Amino acid sequence: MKQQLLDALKNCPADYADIRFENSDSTSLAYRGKELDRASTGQFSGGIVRACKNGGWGSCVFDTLDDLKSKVADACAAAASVGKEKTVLAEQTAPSDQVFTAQLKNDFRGVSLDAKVALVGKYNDIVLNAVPGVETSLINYGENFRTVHFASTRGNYFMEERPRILLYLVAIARNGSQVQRGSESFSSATDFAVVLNREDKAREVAERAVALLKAPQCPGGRHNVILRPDFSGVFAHEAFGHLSEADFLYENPPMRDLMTIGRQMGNPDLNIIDDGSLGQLIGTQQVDDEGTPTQKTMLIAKGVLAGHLHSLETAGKMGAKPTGNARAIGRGHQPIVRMTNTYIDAGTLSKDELFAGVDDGIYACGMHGGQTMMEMFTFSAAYGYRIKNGQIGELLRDIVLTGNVFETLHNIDGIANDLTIYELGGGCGKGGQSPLPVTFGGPHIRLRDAVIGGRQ
Amino acid sequence: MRNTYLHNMLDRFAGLITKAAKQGASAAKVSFSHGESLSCSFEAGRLKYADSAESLGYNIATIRDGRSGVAGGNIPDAMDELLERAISFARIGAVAHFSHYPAPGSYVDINSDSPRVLTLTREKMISDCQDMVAYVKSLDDSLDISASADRSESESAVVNSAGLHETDTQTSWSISLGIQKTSGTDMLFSYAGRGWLDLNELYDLEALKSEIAFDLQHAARSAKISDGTYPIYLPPRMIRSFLAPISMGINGRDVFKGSSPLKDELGKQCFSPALTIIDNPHIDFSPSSAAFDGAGIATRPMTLVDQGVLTTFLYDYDSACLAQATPTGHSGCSPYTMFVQPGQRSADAMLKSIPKGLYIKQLLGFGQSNLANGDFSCNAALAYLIEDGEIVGRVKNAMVAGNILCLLKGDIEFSSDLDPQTRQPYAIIPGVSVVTAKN
Repeated sequence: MKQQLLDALKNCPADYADIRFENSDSTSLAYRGKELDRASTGQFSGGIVRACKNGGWGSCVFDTLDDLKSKVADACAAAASVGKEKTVLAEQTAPSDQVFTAQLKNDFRGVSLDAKVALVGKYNDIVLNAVPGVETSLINYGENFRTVHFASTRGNYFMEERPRILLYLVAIARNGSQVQRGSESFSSATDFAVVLNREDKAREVAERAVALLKAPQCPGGRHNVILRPDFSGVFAHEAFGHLSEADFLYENPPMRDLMTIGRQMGNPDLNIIDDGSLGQLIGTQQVDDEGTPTQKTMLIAKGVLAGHLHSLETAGKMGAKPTGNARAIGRGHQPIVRMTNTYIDAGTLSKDELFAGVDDGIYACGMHGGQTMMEMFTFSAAYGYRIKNGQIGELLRDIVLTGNVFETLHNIDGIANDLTIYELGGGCGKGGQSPLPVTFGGPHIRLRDAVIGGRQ
Repeated sequence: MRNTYLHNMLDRFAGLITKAAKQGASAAKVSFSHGESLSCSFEAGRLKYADSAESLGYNIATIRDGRSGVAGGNIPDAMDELLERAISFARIGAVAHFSHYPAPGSYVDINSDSPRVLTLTREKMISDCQDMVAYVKSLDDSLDISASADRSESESAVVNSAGLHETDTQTSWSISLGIQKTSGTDMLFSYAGRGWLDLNELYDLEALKSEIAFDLQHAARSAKISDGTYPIYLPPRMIRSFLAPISMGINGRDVFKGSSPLKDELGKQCFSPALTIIDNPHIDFSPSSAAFDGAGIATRPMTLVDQGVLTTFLYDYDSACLAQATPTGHSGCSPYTMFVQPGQRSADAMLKSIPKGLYIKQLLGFGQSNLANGDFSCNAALAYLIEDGEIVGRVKNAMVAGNILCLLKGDIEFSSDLDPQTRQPYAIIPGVSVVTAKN
């Protein structure tokens, strides 16, 4: 494969070109209610040639490696018809030949389909029968094994195996026209064990779905809010992480001014990090989809803007070093600047000290999703609780926070010391590429005067 | 198309169906599609990308001993292997509620292939995007401007063990224009886009330019709104979002499984008499049209809500067999395109009748609400304050919330005029809760 890709790039007339080719093999099983509702498998291959000439890009998406040279020629011709300036791409320090095989602890490919169906069925039975009031269920198991090959006109080559396993547990409770869900998800890049022994979580989602039927909606208004670590991670990702992606900045002078390194973003205890090299998490890769090694990047250090996330082009045009954040969701997509494992670093307060500072507030738990429009963001908790005099009180539903990131980060007035990083199902969406595997993390954090939507 | 696979593959699909039967499958189906596309994109106001793509895909579904197995792929040489996998998955696979596909029906002809689309060369698309970019630059040269266009053509086939043997070809285009205006920490994002399967009057650069110019004009002034409950005025592009709880609630499989809040509402006055919704899968050159569903059941226009009365749930073949209902020709039990029927007054007259309200053009985080229950709570990302029937300025940092299934019971109104692209009216929905960051 290596030689085939490098040969196709020989005598390429572009300033730069690369080929990424992938094979993927996947299985999906889903219970919905009493029955196994879906059992499917997929086997796909394909790739993309990218070429850059005089600052313009051309690409050609393909399914087979047949006649690869003509696909390179197509991409080069398209790039030449576009570019009218100088190509500026950052240099890479990556070694030219890299092979990264997956380091699996318990290889899901060695587990029989029967065993997987039985496992999913067991969780389904628990969800349906744990507590009266559960109307139906959605239990979803998925696995995917991607093998990515990459070569560029710089002579770089890599092959990286990128497996992923995931499990969703969802209980749906209904009372008349009232429908509520309890959900949990788990994911891993290395270990089938992540989907084992989740009986307690299956019971928990059933109990929560039923409890949420009776829970009041969170009242709309401005509240002091404590974010549980699984929710503070989403906050780091949505409220700030996307703003640090340099493809939003590099050709937009007002945005570059706004996101100048050294800008005070929050209080001195605030540190936000993206680390694509962290352990073997689902957001971790050895190299990004331009062959740049992943790394730990401080985005906010001691409350001050410290870094951006880069591709070769954004780094080149901003005079920075590439950070290994050019990622593509799959075989037919171009790499764009994406987060990997993004988290708020631990602070110094204990969780109890954090709660003691809230007389009347909201405890927001679980990740339901989030969205950003740069300075503006929303993110939804799966559920939450009222806080009275520092104590956790009644269960609440429909907790959706919003804010302006430049104001909200300054409103973090307490960071606990209990940093946790979560590998969940789902992922990040950007530029039509979703869901990209990422992790979120953080400690408990306290947010003053946060806006929560809803009826007052 | 530079390459065509369809005619060479049809015999192969029939062979796969025969092979599945020999291996004990009571039913089998092969779906196939292959497409090519050209596109261009402008970023930061200048041409940045010129792309081409070719993709192929197929799906093999088998039913054996009451269970189904599905395998998908894009490697033609792997079809036999994937058939084996589909049959292997059926051994312990999903419960199938039918053993044989229904006999093919009589299907309407729906136009989906227009030679005119192929006149849209990459050079033409680049030139048109350049035209739009130049216009927006002339309004404000500090804007970050993006534009893109693409055109595609595809061929598809579906063959099943009941004798269904249908092929189709399709063309399509899309074009879009967007801006970001950044002033300090204040940002405005505006976007306009269109697409269709025929290159007709909908390919209208002026319409896209006007939409962006509208937002630049009205967002230039800021406005404040107090916390409270207000009517919202929705443009046609937002209507589909507010129909999502109905679309989800009439899913026949969910109704049978018990997770739909509309389960007990069939035949009842669920919504305002002003609301009539028709699902029409037979519109020529509409991307969401289809003559038959995944099992070969013929589609037809259907009234889903008639003057506020819920008239039907939607069933694909398997779900209909499960629920002992009549199949409605809806793959996945989902509607094709829900069209809200027009009302009496013009959109302008409706706007002028609002003493105080919000004109909402974009919502941030809408999809993360519990929409299955009808609830939404999200940021009004691009919204204008309406006072005494006039748009007075942009409202920021406001959360809007409510329950759509309840709001649609209220004193809602739809305009007599429809948007040419979406064929939806404007709407007024009263009683939406608004909470702002600062009063």
